[in-house]
Order: sequence, then structure tokens, then C-alpha cells
Amino acid sequence: MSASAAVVGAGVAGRLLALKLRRCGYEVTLFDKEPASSLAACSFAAAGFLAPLSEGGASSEPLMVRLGQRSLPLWQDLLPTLPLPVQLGLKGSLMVAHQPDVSALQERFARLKRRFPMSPSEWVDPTRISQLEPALAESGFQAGIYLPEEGYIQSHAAMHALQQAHSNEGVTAFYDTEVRHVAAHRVVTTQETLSFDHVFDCRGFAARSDLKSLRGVRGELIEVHAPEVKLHLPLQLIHQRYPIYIVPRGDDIYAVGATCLESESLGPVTIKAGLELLNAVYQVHPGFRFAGIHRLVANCRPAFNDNLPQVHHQPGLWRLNGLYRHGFLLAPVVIDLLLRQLAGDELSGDERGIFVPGAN
Amino acid sequence: MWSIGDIKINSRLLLGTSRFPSPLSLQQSIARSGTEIITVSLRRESAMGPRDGQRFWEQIKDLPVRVLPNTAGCYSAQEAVTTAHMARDLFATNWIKLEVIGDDYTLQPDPFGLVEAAKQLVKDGFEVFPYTTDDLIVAQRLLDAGCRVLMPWAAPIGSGMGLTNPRALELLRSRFPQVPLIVDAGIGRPSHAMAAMELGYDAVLLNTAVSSADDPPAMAAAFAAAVAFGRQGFEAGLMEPRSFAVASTPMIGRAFTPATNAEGQ
Repeated sequence: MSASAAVVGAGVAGRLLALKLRRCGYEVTLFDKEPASSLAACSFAAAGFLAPLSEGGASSEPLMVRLGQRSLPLWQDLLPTLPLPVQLGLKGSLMVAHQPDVSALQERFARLKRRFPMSPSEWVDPTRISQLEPALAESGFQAGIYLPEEGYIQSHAAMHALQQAHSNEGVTAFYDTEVRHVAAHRVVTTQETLSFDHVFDCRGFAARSDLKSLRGVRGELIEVHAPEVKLHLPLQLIHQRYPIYIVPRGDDIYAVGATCLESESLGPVTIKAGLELLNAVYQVHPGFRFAGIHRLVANCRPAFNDNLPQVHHQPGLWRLNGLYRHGFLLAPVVIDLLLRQLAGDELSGDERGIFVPGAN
Repeated sequence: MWSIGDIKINSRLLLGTSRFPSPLSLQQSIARSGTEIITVSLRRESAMGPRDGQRFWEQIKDLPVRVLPNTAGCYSAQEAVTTAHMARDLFATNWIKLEVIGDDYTLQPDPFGLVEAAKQLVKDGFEVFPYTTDDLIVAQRLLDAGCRVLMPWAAPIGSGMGLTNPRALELLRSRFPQVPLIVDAGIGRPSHAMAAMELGYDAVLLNTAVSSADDPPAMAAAFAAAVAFGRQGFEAGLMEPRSFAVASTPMIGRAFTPATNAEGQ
């Protein structure tokens, strides 16, 4: 009889882990407090920007960058095995700046070269910008940085495709099921206590009563429908006040994000945040001026004190959390490491760093 | 040792808490800077923070340092006054770093709004730390309004340009010898902080130079050393620069040197 596994929390980490476990031969049960069609998970507030260098390179831990750089190939291997199409942008990402912010861009470039000399990055002028991204030919950006090894994933499509794979491949999913307690070998719902060989806690911010050092970092994102804009690359605007990124979602939808506030409020997008994001995107391309506002999203990203992911573990219980702003970037690699640890493989020192013994 | 009102302070480095890569990096930087005062921007969005007992704010409150709340992002006197009152409730302190911004892109302080807000806040019982330009008259008006400390800029916030107008800073120091003066904003390198201390400033306040470093805690330590040495140099009595050479080696014992006119003339 195959071993049983419970995964609690159906964000990107939970969904991916449930599928991977199933494919390793486990009997997998997935729990989530929201209905299957809900967009409440933090993962639905993500843009799907796979940008270890441009998102993280400014200030992040080198470990985050090293882990993140392994993400794209992992998604690339996984997506063709899913039952629904999910677009993966593999042609790089572009950071751009208008004249007043070129010095900030230069600083970013110098820092990238200094900290990550082995990772390709290219300083680009307006001609090269319009070659890489013809939609920006008239944009007036003075300079940019092209990062050929970055990309994006259509994050909503990925969430749905993972869900579909679960039902095709026999993951038992209990959506709309409130879990009261997640412990070693046990999942306690409002109805009953269930036993498993392994329990995986992927609840994100909702696990904070069990992970004392977890905090929420509020993020706000806007989806716009802009058929006049044809961006192929995820774009980061370097701006003194309003740095934003724009990531294509397919069907002329673009995710524009994201604010980052040390607040655990789950309240709706504030007018200030909305104005900042929209004001910035308005200036990137004239086609955004008459774009429709498709969705405004606010959520709390789960983060530990160092903003790096952690897997707390003890026999029968694994708590994977703290993916911070990097759920889609880091979930594949963290799950890969977790499964290797579970299988008893030898991990490198770097890789072992995310594991914290003694989950409570 | 220096003081603000009745409060005695050892460290002459004040640290801002914005834009650190992580709370851990911030905590380590605070520890290695040796600072006793940190500024915290009270943004309206996070104003619900401490009240809700949220983790980041709990961590800030638990640090063994004084919190100087800051009205960053306020564009009018009224807005700054409202934010200051909110900060007093949340952080249980009457200290307030008063920022009234006049220009969005340079974050240049609005001296008119600043003086207006300072008057009101002093009346309301605050210890006001006004973030101002290096203008002598604005400084005088802030003191007239009841401020007991001044925080002139070295250069615009986050610019890291250093002391762009040391003469103006010198003038403030010589005109207000008894007022605690803190250089706030524009410090990019430890040598900048040291230069400010050598002018006889009581302290420096900085943020971006540490938070945007590759290794913020190490940079915090570098600034701590620079500030301490700059002050030590100032207290020891700095020599004045001269436009001519002065021999530092006595002439005695140089009998075998051929006579020249070059030395000591």
C-alpha cells in the first residue's frame, strides 16, 4: 500500500507539492478552506514574474537569487506534463528608465555586475530596447537592462492547470474545508481528525499561529485589459517613487504590481496604491491609457524574518512557508528540495539552509 | 554624550528603517550601528499596524532603541500634524521627526509648511525634530517656533551626494552653538558622515546608505566607526587648513644637510 500524504493549503506551493507527491506514488489529499473556484489565495495576487535578478538583485539575499535561478528550468520541465496550456515566457525581462532615473538604473547595473558577475545582463539603449520589445519603440525610455535568463509564467493558468492535473491524476481534493489544526500525522478539520503518514502544511500566512516568526507583507496588484499594448517581455520600470513591473498574463491582460508594505492588513486596495500603480503604468505605453481595469487585488505574502523560505520539519510534518514575494519563483525549487530531503538524498549546504528541524 | 531635552544619548548615529532587504537585516544593522534612535516612517497604510499587534511593528517596538516616528510622505502642514498625533498614540512618544515635503521628485522640504506644522506640534507638546534645508533663516524660524533640535540636510534624501554645501552647515553650527544639530539626508558614504561630525554636528541620521548596501550590517558598522572618529577628531581640535607649507620636522640635527632656502622659510 502506498504512503499517504496530506497537503494543507492550495496556493501554488500546495498545488505543486500535491501533484509532485502524487507522481512520486503517494496517496495525496489536498485541503483548502476556500472553494475550488476561489481566487483568495495569495498566489492569485502574484504576477508570475520569474525574475531572480531584477526582483531580487537590488537587495535580496544571494541564496534567494541562486534558488530562483533554478526555477525556470523546473517550470519548463513541468508545464508540458499538465493537461492545460500554460504559457512560460523564456525570452528574458527588461528593466527600463526615463531620463531622470537613468542614474538609478546605472547603479542597479553596476550592482548586478558586482554581485552576480556570472549571470548575463546587458545594458541596452533605445534602439536595442525597441528591437527587444517593439511595443516600446515610441516609449521614450532612455536606457534599460536586459536580463536574458528571466521570464514569466502565466500564474492563473498554472493554478488552474495544476488543479486540473490533480483531478486527472487522482489527487483527492477537499476544497471549502476549514482545517483547524495541522500536526504531525494529523489534520483536524471542523468535522473530523484524519491520519496520514506525512502532513505538509502549505497554508502560507494562515499558518501564522503555528509559525511564530511568520509575518504578512501586504502587496497590491492591478490587472488591466489592454488590447492596444503588445508587450512580450515582463517589464520593470525603474522610478524613484513608483517602481512597478508589468507582466503579460495572456488574452491582453497585464498584471501591474506590486506594492510592498509592512502591514498585515487584508483590506481592499487603497486609492493611493491604486493611483501609484496606475499612474506608473499609464506612462509606460499610450495603449494603457484606455485599458480597462480588470481586477484590483490585495493580499498578504507570508515571510520570515530574513524573507527567505523555510521548511520546518519533524517526523510526519513538514511546514513549507515564507515564500514572500516569490511564490512562483521559489515554489518549484523549494518543493524539489523537500522531495529530495524526503527521499533521503544528500543536499548541499546551501540547499540544507532552508530546512529548520523541529516543526511545532 | 549629547542630549535632546532631558534625554542623554551616547551614539551619534541615528538610523532610518526603510527599504532594508529584510527585517533580519534591519535588526542586525541596528545592532552593529550601535544606534540608540531609529526613525520609523508612519505611513497611513501601515498606521493600523501597531494597533493590530502586527509582527513587523511588534518587532520594531521590542528593539532596545528609542523610536523617532517620522511624518514621511506628508505634503501639507495639516497632514503632518495629523500623522504626528497618530504616531504619538501608536508609539507612545512625544518625539516626532517632522517632514513636510514640497516636491515629489526631490523630496525637498517645504520650509513654509514645516514652520507652520512645527508651531502647532510644539504647542501640542511634541519634541519636534524638523527635517529642513540648510537655510539659516528657516532654521531660525524653526527655533522661534519652539524646536529644540534641528535636522538640516546634507543633500536630498536618498541621493548619497554627501555635504553639498558645507559652508551653510558650518554657518548653522556657528550661529547655533547650543542647539543639537543633526545632519539628516544625503549621506552616502562613511566619509560623508565623518565630514559632518568634523564640522561639530551632534549627530547624523541616515538610511539609504546602509539599507541599499550589499551588506547592510557591515555598512552600519562602518558608519558607526566613521561617526565616532569624526567626533573624536572634532573634540580633539582640528587644525585649520593653510595655503602654505609649515615644517613639521625641527631643524636641529640637520648640520650635515647642505644649506638650502627650501625648508621652513
